[in-house]
Amino acid sequence: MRKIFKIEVKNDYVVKGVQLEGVKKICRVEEAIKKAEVLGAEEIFLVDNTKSLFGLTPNFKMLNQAARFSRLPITFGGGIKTLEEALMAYSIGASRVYINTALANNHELAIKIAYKCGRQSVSGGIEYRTDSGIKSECYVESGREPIGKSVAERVAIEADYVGEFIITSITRDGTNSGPDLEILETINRKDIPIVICGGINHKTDAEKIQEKSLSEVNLSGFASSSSYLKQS
Amino acid sequence: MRKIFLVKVEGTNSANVIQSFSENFETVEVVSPSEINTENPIIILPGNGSFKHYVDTLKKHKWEDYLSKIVNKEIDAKLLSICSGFQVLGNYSDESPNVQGLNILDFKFESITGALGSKLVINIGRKKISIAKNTYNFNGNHIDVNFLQQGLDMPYFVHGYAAKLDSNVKLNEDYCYLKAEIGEHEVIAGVINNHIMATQFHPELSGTKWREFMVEFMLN
Repeated sequence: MRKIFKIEVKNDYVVKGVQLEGVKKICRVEEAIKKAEVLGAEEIFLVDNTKSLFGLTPNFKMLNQAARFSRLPITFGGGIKTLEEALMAYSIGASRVYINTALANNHELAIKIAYKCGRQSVSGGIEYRTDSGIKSECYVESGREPIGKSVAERVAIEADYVGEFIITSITRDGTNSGPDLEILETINRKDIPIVICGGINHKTDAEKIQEKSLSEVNLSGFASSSSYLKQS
Repeated sequence: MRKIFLVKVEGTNSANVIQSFSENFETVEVVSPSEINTENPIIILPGNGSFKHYVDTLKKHKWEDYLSKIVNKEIDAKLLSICSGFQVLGNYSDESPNVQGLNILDFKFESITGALGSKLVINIGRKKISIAKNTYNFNGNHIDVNFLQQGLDMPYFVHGYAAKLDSNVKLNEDYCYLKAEIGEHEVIAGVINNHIMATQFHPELSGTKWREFMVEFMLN
């Protein structure tokens, strides 16, 4: 079970909000990475959600800072819209790129990246809500725009273009209310690695996620952020 | 500070490699072998990259003969090949069935879900490895065979293709072979001797002990 620490950034700072909104400054990226490494992180998931929301250039500055400091694999995302931006991310220090909005809009970008860099270099992002009385509805642009598809539908359509999915429950994000493990049961494609994210406490939830992985073979890891960032 | 030559292939994780060796070496990125201008050079093929794109790039810049000479000890140099950089040295990959690899190592890389029975299309994460066979004499070299034998530090893998290790694979006496398990099969995790360290995993992303191991390989 991969233990991934999510570092959300905005401009020059690590930030954290609730349900992808109302972010507050937490610390510098070096400090967050140091904490993650001390607490046993195996990978870093570095994302600047504001870049996708406003259609801005990805936050390469923070990737550069993080890559110079960290010796862990970094999955980098937020606003990647072109092959050139993905190649720039690898050349700065990303091991994989994370694309959500660009992937949901069409598969061309994922195909182009996989052609040059291999499918294993692409993490498909899926952000969804479960608070509207339905099982799941996916969103793009940092949780602002619903696209009328469920998590299962997106996985079924996009699984052949990426190496894994990082699926984030917007509903649970920043709430420390525990992982949404039920979502895994809705996904029919069982051959693609899934990393779950949103509401996860890396300490108290690890065991139940591990237990779930016995029945859900595609559960590859979990990404947590607020629980370790708040820890002194 | 001693130079290492990193072969430039677009889309590879060159920055991870440069960062990993920043304390020990000065990294020079090169496009073709003609740019290598030192005696006993150390060459690195970084990880990431699709099989076709990687092979095409290396063939375009005439790396085949040079890399082959290193592996066959006709040039006094060292070669570190990581993940996709390892796979391109083989002769075939299911990732690009119509593309011939560099044919330097006699390996065939197959889809881990097809021939190897993996339940997942990509194998990501830390995985235990061990020595499959070691007939190579590391005498006089500083490579810590015990470190490999103990398999304590699980290295980091990211791949969808692997070379199966079974009775059909001819094991050359001149290498130490590392293995890992995928599905119900054993696969080649790496080959090592004094001239080449080629790994399916990413030693540059696998922690301090693996970095130290690579530095020892390159310096001794």
